Amino acid sequence: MTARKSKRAGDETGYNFAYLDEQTKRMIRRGILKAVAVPGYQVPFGSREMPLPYGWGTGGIQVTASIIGRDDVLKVIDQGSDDTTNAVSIRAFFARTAGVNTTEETAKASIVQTRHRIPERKLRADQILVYQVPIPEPLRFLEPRETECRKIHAWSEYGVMHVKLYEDIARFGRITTAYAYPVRVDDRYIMDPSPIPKFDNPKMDDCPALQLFGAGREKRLYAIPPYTKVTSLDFEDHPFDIETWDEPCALCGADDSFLDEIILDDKGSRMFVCSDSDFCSARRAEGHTGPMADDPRFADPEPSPREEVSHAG
Amino acid sequence: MTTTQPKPANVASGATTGIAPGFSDPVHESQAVFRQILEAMSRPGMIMGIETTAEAPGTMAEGMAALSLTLLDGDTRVWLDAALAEHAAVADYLRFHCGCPIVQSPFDADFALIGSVDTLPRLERFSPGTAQYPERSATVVIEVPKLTGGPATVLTGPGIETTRDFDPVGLPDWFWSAWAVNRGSFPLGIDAVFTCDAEFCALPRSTRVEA
Repeated sequence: MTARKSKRAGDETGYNFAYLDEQTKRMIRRGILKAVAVPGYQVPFGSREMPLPYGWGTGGIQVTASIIGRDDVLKVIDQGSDDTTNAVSIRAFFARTAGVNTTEETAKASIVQTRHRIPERKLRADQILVYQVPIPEPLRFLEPRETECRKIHAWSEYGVMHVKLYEDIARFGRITTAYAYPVRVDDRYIMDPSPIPKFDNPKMDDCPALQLFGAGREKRLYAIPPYTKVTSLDFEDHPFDIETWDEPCALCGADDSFLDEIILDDKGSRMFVCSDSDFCSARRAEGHTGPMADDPRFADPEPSPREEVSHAG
Repeated sequence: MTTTQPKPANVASGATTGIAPGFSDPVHESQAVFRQILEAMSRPGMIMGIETTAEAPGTMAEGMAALSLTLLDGDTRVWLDAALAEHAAVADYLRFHCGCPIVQSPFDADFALIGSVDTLPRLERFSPGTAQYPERSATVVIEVPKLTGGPATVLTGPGIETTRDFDPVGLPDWFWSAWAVNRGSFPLGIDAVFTCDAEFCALPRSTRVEA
């Protein structure tokens, strides 16, 4: 292969735009259209080998590669953060193979690829959210046989899922599933929302943005069209609820976002901060402060201005 | 009529030199068209436009040609209605640019291209998929005289915030009752795309229609 002189896609030789060949894109595109037409149903597709291992977001990457165009602005998050390995690698992958512009700001992105979070900022109708999915089958740990899972979905015989949730209540007094909490899409298919915290489940309901899901190793695509009813499974006497915290974000003071617990030393001190790094830094830029905002340990060496869209190359 | 170079009648309009050109930039044009189709399928009844450099063959309109170039290839079986099948240029164009097999029975088709609402078969003649594989169903692309101004219907369902008005011109009388049957068999069913010149909109099987 020739030496890589530049990150511009046009100069990167040996690859088609966005890495995948056109035949593969067409196959995935047709699969996505069927996934949108049958919300929550898992469409099988011919997942390709990608230049990173299965389990690192190959499904999401293939979906993004099939929909992305030169004018798109891409944001990639991993557990809410733009700065973790997976997010940085995937963002660089598309900057290089497609030459697209990337951003860390949710509001400026036209496509957001995510691993295990939904951004706190409400998504718009002109945005698409692409999820990386490790295990798309919500029934997999209840019924290992693919053939049986298929029948359960086909005939909507979802009793086994409710039994699982009921057993949680019988044993622990509450439903203990905290992530990948099963949802029902448009009153029909039960769907795995990917391992997002159940905190994010309500954001899927009636969302103005199209939501696409790609599972590379498991070779499945599925989708939630915009403004679609998505309900988290529960019981009348044990209604679905989301996590709450006793304190706000230590840095931005937000009391309505998903917080990560961070251990600070070996004496038990800890802090809670927003998992969505863009949401937190935007709030701090607006002047919101949390209880530890003035702690010199967490001060930015030099507060940088909010990032603009970064141009590839 | 005598000619110095006799040629078979069935390739008269579709000789290799006569095949209309496809996209001049296949990668980016098909991406742009796909995003329009994805938007249309995600927001049923919303009218989208296509800008394309492709020329359409025979009686096929440019929007349908662009959709075909974007979605069809050797893996998709295509059925043509009588209006499109009577011009050999259409099948030649699809075989040349997409390499798709043309099938004789609508039930075998992954994509059905309908050049005229007058030759639209009954919807039950297309494959609705199977209970375990509902995606193995036909996508039916129908050229209508106009996308608005016809009998009013109201759409609800996934992709529609509240309701959306939808009033294409020229659909047969039986269409909306047939659509109700199609919706009733969800998750089985066909997905429809209505084209009119360079504009189109979609009606996935998940959409409920009040005629």
